[in-house]
Amino acid sequence: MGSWTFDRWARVWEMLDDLRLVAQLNRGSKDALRRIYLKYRQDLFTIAVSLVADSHLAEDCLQDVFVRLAESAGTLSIRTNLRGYLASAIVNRARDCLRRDRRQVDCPVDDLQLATRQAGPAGELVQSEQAQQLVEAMGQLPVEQREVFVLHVQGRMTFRQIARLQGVSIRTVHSRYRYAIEKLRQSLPEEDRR
Amino acid sequence: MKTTRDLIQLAGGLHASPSPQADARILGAAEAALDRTFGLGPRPEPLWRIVINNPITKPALAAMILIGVLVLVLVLVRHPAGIPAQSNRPSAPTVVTNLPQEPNRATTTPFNQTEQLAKELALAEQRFSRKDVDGLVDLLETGLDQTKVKVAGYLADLGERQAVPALQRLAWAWTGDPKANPFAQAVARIKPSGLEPNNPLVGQAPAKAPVQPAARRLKIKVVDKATGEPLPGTQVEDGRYVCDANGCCQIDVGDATSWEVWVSAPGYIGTSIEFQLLTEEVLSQTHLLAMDTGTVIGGIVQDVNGMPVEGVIVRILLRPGHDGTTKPFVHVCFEQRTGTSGRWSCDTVPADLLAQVNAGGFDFVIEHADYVSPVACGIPDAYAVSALRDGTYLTTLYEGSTLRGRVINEKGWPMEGARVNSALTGPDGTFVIQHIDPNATKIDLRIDVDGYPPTVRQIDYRPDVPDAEIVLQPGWFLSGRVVDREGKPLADAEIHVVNGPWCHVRRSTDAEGRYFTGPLPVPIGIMNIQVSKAGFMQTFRIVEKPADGPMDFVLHRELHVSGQVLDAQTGRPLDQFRITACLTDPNDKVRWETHPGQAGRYKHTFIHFCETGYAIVIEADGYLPATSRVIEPNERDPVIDLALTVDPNSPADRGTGP
Repeated sequence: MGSWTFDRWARVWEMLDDLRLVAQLNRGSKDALRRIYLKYRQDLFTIAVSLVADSHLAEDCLQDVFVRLAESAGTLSIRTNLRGYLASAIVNRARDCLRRDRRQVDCPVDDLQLATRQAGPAGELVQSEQAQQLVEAMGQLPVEQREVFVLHVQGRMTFRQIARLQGVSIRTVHSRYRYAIEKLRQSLPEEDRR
Repeated sequence: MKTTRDLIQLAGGLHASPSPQADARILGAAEAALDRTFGLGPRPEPLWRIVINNPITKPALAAMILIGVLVLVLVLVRHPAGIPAQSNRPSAPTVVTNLPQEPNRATTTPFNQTEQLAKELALAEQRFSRKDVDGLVDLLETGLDQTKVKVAGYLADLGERQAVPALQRLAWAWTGDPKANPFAQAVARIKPSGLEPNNPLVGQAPAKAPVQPAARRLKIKVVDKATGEPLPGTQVEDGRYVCDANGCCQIDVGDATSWEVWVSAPGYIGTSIEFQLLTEEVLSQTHLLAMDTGTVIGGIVQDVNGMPVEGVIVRILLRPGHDGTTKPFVHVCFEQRTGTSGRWSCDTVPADLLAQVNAGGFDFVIEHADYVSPVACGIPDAYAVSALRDGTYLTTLYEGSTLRGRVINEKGWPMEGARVNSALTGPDGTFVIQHIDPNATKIDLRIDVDGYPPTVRQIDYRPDVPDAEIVLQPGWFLSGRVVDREGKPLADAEIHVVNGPWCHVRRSTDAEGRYFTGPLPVPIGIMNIQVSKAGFMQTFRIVEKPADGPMDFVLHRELHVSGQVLDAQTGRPLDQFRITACLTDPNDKVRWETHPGQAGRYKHTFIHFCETGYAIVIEADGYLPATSRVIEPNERDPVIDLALTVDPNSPADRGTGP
């Protein structure tokens, strides 16, 4: 129970800190903007790299999100939490990037395009051979399943939040998550037992 | 194979950071944007911050808050007898959260309570004279206690059956003399065949309420937010229902446990409301949806010569995240074709478009079959929003370039009648695809022709590209048997082979349980094979390459789990609780679905095969969750009773049984 209480309080404190930062940003504080960036840059960049599989593109997404955050300062009203808000924004930017890549295609081919595109080494993301395999396996997942997996595991968003973001029922999100997990488990070999 | 936990740990441990140069660039761009938004220099401190930081005003503010709390306590202590305090009757929702709140009793001081009562009684009389039943029911649910008694009389005089549920709830909540129960008397006057005031059910817990009608309907009322007037003709659920003259609509929800209602009306912001648990209480209420007036945005679509383009489809979807409560939230779904002037306009978006768009869930696409499309317009910035508001948002469509090619089979023969994306091949196997984005570098082609599997090719594209030649390869076939656990063949089982968006093949087994697919393309990446049959659990298998021999499947019967849900201390059945079905892993549990349960018994049917087993989690307000043992997929209808212990830290009311 102790750790539960601690976790819960940690979340509450994070939320309060975020609300304070948003309030300061709404008054035009550059310091608040900088602190929000430093607090979330790594998480958001990891999500973006996992979704677009290109570190330069991911940096562009991150820049767009923070420029738009700064442009909305003064009118920002974060109703849930800042982490979820920024994660939603980065996902939408990543989708835009993927869609822009896909625009030239005559028919929608979400899954195929990603299946044939090799998820690149993505700069600093790859820390080990296993991580490399995971990134490649994630690149093979259909977009929706990859989004659910990335947002739940790396973005720490709840299924309910993801359901809202994707505009589908929570059951569909569960389903996508389960399929993603199953496919990743199939794709990733067990560690060497030598 | 890795466990789910290993995977999550591995993925959760991945961290990537932008380079220091990128950090500097991103922060620089964001700060410049902040400067543009605000000009230079931060805004002045707000008044509340000045008050809090001042050593004189701070204690004064604290004293005012203390006085406010004391007054509140006084009001609660002086509560009239007869109707119990709000907190003692959770099952009597006299305040409907989705209806506009009249001044609340808890915030009404004794000094202005009389004035408030007089106002409410006058309003009730006025509504009675207008026969405004909805208005009276509103007062019944939100007014002061004396007002409620008076309104009950009025509703009985009007004999309006619509008011019975609200009156019945108040009748149940009455703790005074049953013979003097004004709400039960009103119910009896309206509904002589229903519950009499001296009926033993009156004054007891709602758990013993009369049986609800079989059809489950969600009742909503749509009004104009500014005037409160009903909006007849409002479309609900994309036109499946239309609101009546009172702005009311009943939605058939079948046996669903959650529901999202989406309403749209010209000139109003598209709005949704989400009900995460469709309890009988939720279904018994009428939920108010107040629609705000929309702002008009628009634009012009033209070709490269500056001529307007007619018949362009403009689609806007705006559905930002919301806070998870049952408050209505923005949900715009717009589609329109441009006229001869190439103009389009949409009057259903909110005024704070930019803020809503930044909250996520925005899609804005423009398309026309004779041009390069769809054009994804992305997230508009402040300038684009300004143009949208002026109706001058300009989109230019390009005719694009053309790709020519030929389709032949593995022997080099031209394939006539093959479909290549939207084009068909001629007798010499050639095709022409128009309206390709001149900036495209890669094009995906899908080729469908009888006798060959669907084929997908990605080709590198340049404007001066020579004609593409696509060689079709014969496919591979999948065959095998589907049997039950005892080895008996299963007829009419469905085999669904999925490999990317192109390959969706469905086949059924014959009387011997055998199946055989047509030509399938060689798998790209992972291929998923799902097998299902009514009464059996769906199973799926993932393969990376075509199997050498037959592929057989064993289906397990659906698993029905049931049992009692009890209070661990008293042994009594719990009245209200939630059942969550989980798929287990040796180290993990994945919550699969949740539905409400009642009357001390639960049952759930698992319809997806999970080799590692299942679990049931029961949760109830005020109790610690209880989890079942791991249930094996081959068990036969197990009965598992679960006892919940009281959560010592929860102040919530518990749903104990009678």
